[in-house]
Amino acid sequence: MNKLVSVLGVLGALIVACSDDTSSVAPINGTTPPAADPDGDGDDGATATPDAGPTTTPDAGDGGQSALREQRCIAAGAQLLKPIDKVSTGAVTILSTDASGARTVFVDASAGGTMAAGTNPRVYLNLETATRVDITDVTAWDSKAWDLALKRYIPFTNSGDGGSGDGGAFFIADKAFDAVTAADIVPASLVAESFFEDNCDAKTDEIGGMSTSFDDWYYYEATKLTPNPGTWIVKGATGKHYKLAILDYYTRPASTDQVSGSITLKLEALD
Amino acid sequence: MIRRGLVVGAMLLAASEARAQTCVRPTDAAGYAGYRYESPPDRFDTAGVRVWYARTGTHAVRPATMRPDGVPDDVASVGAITQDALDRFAALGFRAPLSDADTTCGSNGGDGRLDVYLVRFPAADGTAAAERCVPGATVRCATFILAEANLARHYATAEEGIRTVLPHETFHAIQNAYDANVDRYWAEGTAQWAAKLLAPQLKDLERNLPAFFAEEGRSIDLPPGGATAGYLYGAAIWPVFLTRHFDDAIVREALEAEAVDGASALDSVGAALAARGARLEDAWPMFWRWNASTGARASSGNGYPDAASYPVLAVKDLGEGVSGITAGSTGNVFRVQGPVKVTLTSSVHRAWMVPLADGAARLDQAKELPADVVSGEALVVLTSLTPSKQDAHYELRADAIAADPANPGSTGEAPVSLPQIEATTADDGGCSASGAPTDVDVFALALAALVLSRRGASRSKARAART
Repeated sequence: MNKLVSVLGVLGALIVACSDDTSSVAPINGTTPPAADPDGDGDDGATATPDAGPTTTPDAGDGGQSALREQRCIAAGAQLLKPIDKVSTGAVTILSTDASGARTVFVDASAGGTMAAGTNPRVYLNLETATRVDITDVTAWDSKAWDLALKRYIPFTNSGDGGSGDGGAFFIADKAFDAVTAADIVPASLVAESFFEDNCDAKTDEIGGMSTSFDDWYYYEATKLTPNPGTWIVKGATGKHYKLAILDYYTRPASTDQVSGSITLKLEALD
Repeated sequence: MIRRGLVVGAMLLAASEARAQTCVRPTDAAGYAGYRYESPPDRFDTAGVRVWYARTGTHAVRPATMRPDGVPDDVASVGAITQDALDRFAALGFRAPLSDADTTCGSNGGDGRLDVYLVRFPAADGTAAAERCVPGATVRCATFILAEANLARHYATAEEGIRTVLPHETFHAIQNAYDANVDRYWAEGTAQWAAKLLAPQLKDLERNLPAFFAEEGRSIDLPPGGATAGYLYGAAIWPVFLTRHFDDAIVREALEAEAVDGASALDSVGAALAARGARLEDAWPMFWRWNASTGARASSGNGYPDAASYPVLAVKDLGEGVSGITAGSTGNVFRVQGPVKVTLTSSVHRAWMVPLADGAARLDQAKELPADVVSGEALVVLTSLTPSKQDAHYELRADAIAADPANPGSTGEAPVSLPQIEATTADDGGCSASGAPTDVDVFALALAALVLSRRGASRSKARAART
């Protein structure tokens, strides 16, 4: 049995009956492998030796442990990522394209607002086309069609604990978008997403949120998020590099409304 | 013993100290976090509160007044309600907020009163900002409050908004006198509980319960990365349970315990329970049995007094049994059809059978597994209580047994005596009924909660402004 059958797929399949449930449950006599035995080899799963393959052999650039790919921290993963098995309806709109090809893109990652965000999926963005990829949180795990997942204030790349891709990201503080070139790519800095400590505690950012490779994108004061000045280097799921700047977190196009998760990005391919 | 990581603690301290040295407020030229009065504000004093407000400009309050001194009614209400909150929390034995009377910062509002700055938020109701932090066993901080200048924007009336927001923020100021790094769910949950204690007629606590009930299976102390702010507010149901089943003093005593060594909120509650001869290990499963007995499953005479009006937890069909994993301190509920014997295999979990009679949970007949469900339906409430987030495996089995025709519905066990609390009835919902969204956007609040908990710098009560 190939353990590539996604961990999130397992999570999604095991989260039965109620999409809001953040535990992992399987019927003893059912057809779904129990979470206690995620690889179906009859042991308790915690000490399983996974088959060879992408699940256990990180792609180049992964750069670190992936608790989910190693099929550890499954329940903690379900709680933290809370995969929703439906496709986001959040709008992704190219607002403008400049002469160099840089696109300014609006992404509605509000996920239905604060109170509904827990039951709405992430928006998956393909950086090459600047379009939404219509997949669910569950199917996204095995997809390399997307490069960046966004929901509220937490973006992450398609890599490591975030997905099956070869992605990664790092921040160049205080360097303007236009000044960033391919020469700024530092491969060693493009680490894969790693959401958990060895003991399955969730890694947290400076203020206690879920830690991703985008930890430093904002500073927070008095209920407002403001993007830190600088530019991101993002490696897409298939290894292509982009520069990306987060411009705004509240403003919706053609509206005076300020809505959390209304993200305006600027992005451009670097290779 | 659940304790925070030392590295995190050091980081928090550093952040708090940095904030303490910043010492800026909306009355300063630089402003606080972008909030600055364009002209010198007016002020309104009570014995322990100083309210700062603008009559014109971006942060102007509503001018309407019936007062002979011309102070806007909203401003006077903020002063009076905040003062009342201070007085009543003090009467309950809580510490006073740390004074900002010292002049180590240029701005302290002129004296040791609790300063409230009325400003216009883009998408929030209020925040409690910690400053002048003092390291020790816990980081303790003085606090000033920013509150929305026109709470009538977000509530039916300004007074409803003021009574909802200001006691909540005031309670954060009190928490900061014990530990500025209180676990987020406990910080927001107890602030909600405290505000409800002062104004039981308000429904903000109930408005946020669906977000908590919708995340059955989530460890209560998980970082809120994937959680909505509503979950943190909805966690008020935990102190509601504790104070209903035990007494109101337990929240204060838990804060006192936390102030001793910075223990986690769960451990601090455990210490407060131990002082009563009770155990957290028993209270936690009972909490989840109560949570399983809401909505149409409300247990007449037992559980939450308002259980019938609360959302219902999702239940899964146990069938012949399930195996699964959880992480941390959780609760899950299953439904089983008798006649069966239900057993649990786990080194971490505990599980209780709660019979259903006409759909209502019989908390008075709850029994820890193994238990027989001779006939009819029953709930199986599975809980785990552990700081570990590693996968914890369990297996629940429902094995057929012979029915007891002479005593249908009986479990064969003596009823367990629980506090007799009246409940009414409402409709059931099952999986699809929980988590009803509202138009309240408290996202910024969640982030504020992150800051206050991790950085000791700010606590916030935000509400959906425009989502």
